[in-house]
Amino acid sequence: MPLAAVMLLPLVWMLVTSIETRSESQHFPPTLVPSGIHWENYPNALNAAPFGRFFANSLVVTLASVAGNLVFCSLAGYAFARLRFFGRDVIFIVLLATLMVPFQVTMIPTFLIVQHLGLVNTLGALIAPNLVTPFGIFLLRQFFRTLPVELEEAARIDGCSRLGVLFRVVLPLSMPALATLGIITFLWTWNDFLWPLISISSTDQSTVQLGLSFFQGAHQTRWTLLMAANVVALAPMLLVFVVAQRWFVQSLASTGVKG
Amino acid sequence: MAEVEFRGVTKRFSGETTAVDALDLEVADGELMVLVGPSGCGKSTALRMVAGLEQPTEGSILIGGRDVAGLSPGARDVAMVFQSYALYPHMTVRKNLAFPLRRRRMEKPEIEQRVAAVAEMLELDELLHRKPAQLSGGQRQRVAMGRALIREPLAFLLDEPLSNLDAKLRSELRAELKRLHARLEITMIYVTHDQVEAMTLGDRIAVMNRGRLLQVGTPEEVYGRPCNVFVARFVGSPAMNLLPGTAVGQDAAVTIGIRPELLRPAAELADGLGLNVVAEVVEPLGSDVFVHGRTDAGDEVVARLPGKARVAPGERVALAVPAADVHRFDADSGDLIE
Repeated sequence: MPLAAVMLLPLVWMLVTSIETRSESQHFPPTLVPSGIHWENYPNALNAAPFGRFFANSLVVTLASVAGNLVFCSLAGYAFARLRFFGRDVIFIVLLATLMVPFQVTMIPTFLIVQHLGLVNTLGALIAPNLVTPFGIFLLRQFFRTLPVELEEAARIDGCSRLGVLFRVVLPLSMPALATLGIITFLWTWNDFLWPLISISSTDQSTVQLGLSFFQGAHQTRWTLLMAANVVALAPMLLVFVVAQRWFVQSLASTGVKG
Repeated sequence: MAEVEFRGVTKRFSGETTAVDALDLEVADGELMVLVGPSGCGKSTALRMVAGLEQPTEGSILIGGRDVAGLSPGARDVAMVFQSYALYPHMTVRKNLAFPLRRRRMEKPEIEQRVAAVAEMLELDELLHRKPAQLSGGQRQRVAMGRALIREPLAFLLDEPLSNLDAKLRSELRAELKRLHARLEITMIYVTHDQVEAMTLGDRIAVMNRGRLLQVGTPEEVYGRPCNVFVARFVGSPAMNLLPGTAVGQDAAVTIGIRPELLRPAAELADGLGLNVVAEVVEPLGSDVFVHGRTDAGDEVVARLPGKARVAPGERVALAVPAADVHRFDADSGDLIE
């Protein structure tokens, strides 16, 4: 319980600040019980910048990244898990090694590639580099390897091609792993700030996280509006987690398969 | 239905281990052939090569007279039952049964009809809406059989299909399988390490060891005339007694093989070959008495005597066997001496 309280405190503070007056928000020590509920912070925040557009952009980028990861990481993960080809293990180790390279090292080269593709300052710049991730390939490969190989052999004898085996047998049995990858990709992409900051310069291509920075000026920060917008930006993630947590928890709790 | 033929099939894994060594074997149309041998003898690998799950390193496999080299497992028109059953856990029994038909783009009404027919034959009607996790071992086994039968394949491959069941269920399903085979006259290749299963099920059995095929024949032939010491010891329970000896009139060392049930008290068999044994353990089973003992030379001998025989541990028993029932094997190579 004390731990939960510590974890919840920043969230509570965010919620409280989002309904306070501006002077209350700047008071020290912080006011944890506001004098009244100032709902107007929410419309004020959302009207201060084109947040509808930001949300739409974030949603497009996030959903495209989630879909791309689920499809491409499944294909690559299955190849690494089950197909025999020359240099498979070496390639896989190199792929794993890239997990150790921090984003700060690769962001400039990534930017140059995106620039060559002519995608700078478009949503494509946010989607393309995130369509497939080494982490996703690794996660799914590990999960696929826990599935009994006889199931796949049975499916092949029953007339499935390799892709048929993947889509009709392996993926339906991998829902926990796919849900995990989906949620993690959703959170990463939705919360990403640094890469959009580098690759996007115009307002109409901005994401929610870039939009939030509008409230933080060089000289002052409008905490009440920032927190109100933050609460709204948090909502999709909460929703995704509530919907998908059944599979998510299941996949973290069990590594094997039943049946 | 079709015959299956192995022609000089060799399978080597990673260049070194030879799992199957120059296998020549013909399985006739409608025959139930059992591949039997200890674990690691190559029997499962041979089966998997028929299914297309492994590719032979050398030689060819013919199904219905057609060389299946390079054909994908799905294109070979064979069905397989796995030891673990390999039922699709996310599908109901009905969908499991229909799966191979749907992959072959069969019309819906025909699928319905075949599912109903197979479900009736295997008494799965009540279980069609269940998922594999909600079935008992025996029920899962029957669904796996059904999924293989429903396609009416050219050949039916079974890889230790009964070994995950308890003894009672195993013998029930063994009988059911035999009835099914008699009724449908399907070509079956059945892999097992259990020689009792092999003897009771097979039209013919093929005994393998270390990748090599040692002997093929009807259960009676293999039991009555094992081609070498390995087959003699592997087939039959309790195993054949093998004793060192010398061939009469020659100086060559031989191994003498005597089936435990052919040993009789010497008093009953005047002109037989005599064997004096000191009984160590006596197991009365009602119908028979198993006597475990040692000869004067210290070799272990098991005799299966009639239930009325009275033998006490420590007692010296004079046994005999008709000379015609004694097998002689070369002491070095282990091969049968004609």
